[in-house]
Amino acid sequence: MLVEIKNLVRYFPRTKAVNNISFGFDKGQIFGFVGPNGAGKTTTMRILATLDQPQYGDCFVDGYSVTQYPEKARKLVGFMPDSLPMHNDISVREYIDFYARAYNVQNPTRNKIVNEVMDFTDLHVIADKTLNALSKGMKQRVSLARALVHEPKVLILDEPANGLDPRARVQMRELFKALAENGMAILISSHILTELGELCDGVVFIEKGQLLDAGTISEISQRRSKDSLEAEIRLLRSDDWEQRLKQLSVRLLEIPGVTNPAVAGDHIELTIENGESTAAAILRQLINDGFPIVDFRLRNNQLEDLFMTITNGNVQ
Amino acid sequence: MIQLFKNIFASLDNKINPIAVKEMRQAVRSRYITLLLQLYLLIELLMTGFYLLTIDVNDLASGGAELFFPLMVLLFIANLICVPVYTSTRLTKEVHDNDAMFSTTLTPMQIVRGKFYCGLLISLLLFSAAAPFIILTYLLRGLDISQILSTLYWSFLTIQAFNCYGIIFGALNINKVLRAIIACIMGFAILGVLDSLPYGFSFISAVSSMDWETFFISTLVFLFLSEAFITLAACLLSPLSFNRMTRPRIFATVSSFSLMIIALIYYGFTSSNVYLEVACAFTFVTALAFLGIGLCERTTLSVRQIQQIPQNPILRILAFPFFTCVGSAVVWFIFMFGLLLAYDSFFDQGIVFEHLVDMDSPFPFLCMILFYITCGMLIRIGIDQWRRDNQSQRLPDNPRIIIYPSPQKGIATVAYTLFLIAVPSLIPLLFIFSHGAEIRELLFFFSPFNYMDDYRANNNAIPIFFGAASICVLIIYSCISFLRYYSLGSTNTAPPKLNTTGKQG
Repeated sequence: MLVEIKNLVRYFPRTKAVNNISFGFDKGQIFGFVGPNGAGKTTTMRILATLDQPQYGDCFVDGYSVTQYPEKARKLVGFMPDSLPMHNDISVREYIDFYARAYNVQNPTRNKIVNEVMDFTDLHVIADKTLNALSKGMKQRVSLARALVHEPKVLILDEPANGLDPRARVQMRELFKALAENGMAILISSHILTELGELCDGVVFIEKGQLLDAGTISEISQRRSKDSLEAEIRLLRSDDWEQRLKQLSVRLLEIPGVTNPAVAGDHIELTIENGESTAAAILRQLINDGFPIVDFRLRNNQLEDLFMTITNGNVQ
Repeated sequence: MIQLFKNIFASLDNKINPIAVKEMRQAVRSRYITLLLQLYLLIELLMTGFYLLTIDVNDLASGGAELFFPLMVLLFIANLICVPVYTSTRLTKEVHDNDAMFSTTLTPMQIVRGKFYCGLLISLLLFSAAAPFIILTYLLRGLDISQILSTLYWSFLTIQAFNCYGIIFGALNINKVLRAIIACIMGFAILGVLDSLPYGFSFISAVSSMDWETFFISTLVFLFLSEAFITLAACLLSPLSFNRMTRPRIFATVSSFSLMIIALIYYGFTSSNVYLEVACAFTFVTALAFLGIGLCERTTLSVRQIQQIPQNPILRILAFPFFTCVGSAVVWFIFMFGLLLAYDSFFDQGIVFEHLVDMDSPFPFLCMILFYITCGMLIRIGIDQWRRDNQSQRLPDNPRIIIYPSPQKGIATVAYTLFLIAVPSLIPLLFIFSHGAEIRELLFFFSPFNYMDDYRANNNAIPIFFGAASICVLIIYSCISFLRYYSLGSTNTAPPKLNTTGKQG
């Protein structure tokens, strides 16, 4: 594992912010860090970024302890906090250049990297604006550029999509995917679970400082859903389409392993027991029965469903 | 050729402190700096204009001197207040907000030096703004060039020492009001110490002829003092697992040794003890200050520190006074104070007792100081232990694991410092307001300053008893710390998954 968090504990005077959590993720993986406000996400991330100290446990980045050897871990970690400091006396380019210098990126490489990072995050247009003149979305981009400037192996992003418009969100998501494809390990905290579901390979659920579950989405789904899968079926639209949809609903009731088939608008939703092999058998059966199926989609338990399942009564 | 110059500039650019670059970029755009400069120029203009309008033609021969000193006072005070306030405020904000800057590979020393350069730039701006007015004072006569230059020089050095001093308080993450109060109290004390140097910053008296030996040693003291502040500020910004006090203690030891050797050489040539006094004063003050700071450090060693304990038994013993923990601070202080006394007795000058603390009966005074230091140390350890006993918790899902509270470094430091400074100083004040003769006697008895003269020279038994008890406590505590340290070094207690570079095995 490139990043390992082991038995991390951080208590504040009146809050148990992080209470013995352990998880890890590897290079090329994007891990979502999911939990309600005050769950301990930011505290964990700040410890991982060497900005806070745990009272027990440790985090290791490529084997380096962040508590004992922070200066070594810092070279490997890029941290994007949830907000950018307000400066009215420094431009975007100067700010990123400062961070490149701070990470000891030497010239002539420094200018090249600063330009590349600004290209990557699309900041050239606002290069000469001061930080406090930027919109929230632009600040997030500057913050990301700052975290990337030393080409870290691990990227820690605290609510990166916070305050972004839909277009900027899509762009940022594409940026993260590109970075992960280049071998970077990414930990993202967010409240927007649908977005994380599209982006993440794995997820860590945390509430009130306690780890509820961690792993890849399919691992957690399998652990939590006991082999039942949600599915959607759509039929080819024709004159007798509605009638065929009702027929399909009745037919599904007769097939073993199918529960709760119901017409929902233009499609049928159903639950399939015993995993993907049953799903394949059902699809084969329906095609043999002559149903004009244009879409048969398994909804592997989405993050929102998983989150609701996991948090249901687990933590008081 | 152009490529060569480009390479040279690129190489120079790479060597510039990143914080300095950022701070300078921000300073030139800062509204605060612009306003400060404009205000300063306005006041200088008004002062000069007023003087020129009211000048008596008969006094023209000394007119420059009359204008020079108010202008210098203004320059000095403006710098002394604005430069440390600016640098410390900026650093405070970054420390308080836990700026992402602290997650970069910048070392604490780079951060502190960067802030120092920023303060230096601002003071240079103010000095350059004052330059035309100072040239005017020279043209008005009454001053020679050496007087002007030496005054500017000592003022500049003092301001830079305070620039570094301000950075320490910027790095201290404690309540703003408390910090301001402590900074002011200690600032005045340092100003007093600097003023007592052979030339100090006493520009009011206008140095007319330059004594190069004094110039050299005073400059050295200023530079050592500034560097000591810088190493302390860097130490405050270092992560808790670091051996934070090693660098300041090594610096204090080396600078004290250097000053002693220089003073010794000068004494050999001239038989003048003035520089012996300077060297002793520097060592005495630094040792006391570093002891106070060292006692605020942790009482146990971090994993990283344990890994740094030398395996060689002799090196392990020698390294102990430079490790970051209370026991090491005590041993280092005993070593430095022993060195100072040996140095003093070698010359048989009685510098430490007669000149520095100006008293006839030094032992009761030192005993009381030692008593207060020991009390401070015990209070500090007691606070830590109380918090460990009362605020530690067991992990709910693994009760064998005890979670100890995070060290409240700032509050403990303040409590301890206040105790060391305030208690001995305030007792004589209480004495003034107390009415009962017995209470007055009792209060007066506890003040170390009581023993600075011969007022109670014949009643020293109890202070000496306190001193002896304190020495016993300090020695016992240091021995326990040393034994623990030594055993940790001999049995490799480093976590098995970490090798010497910190890389997980």
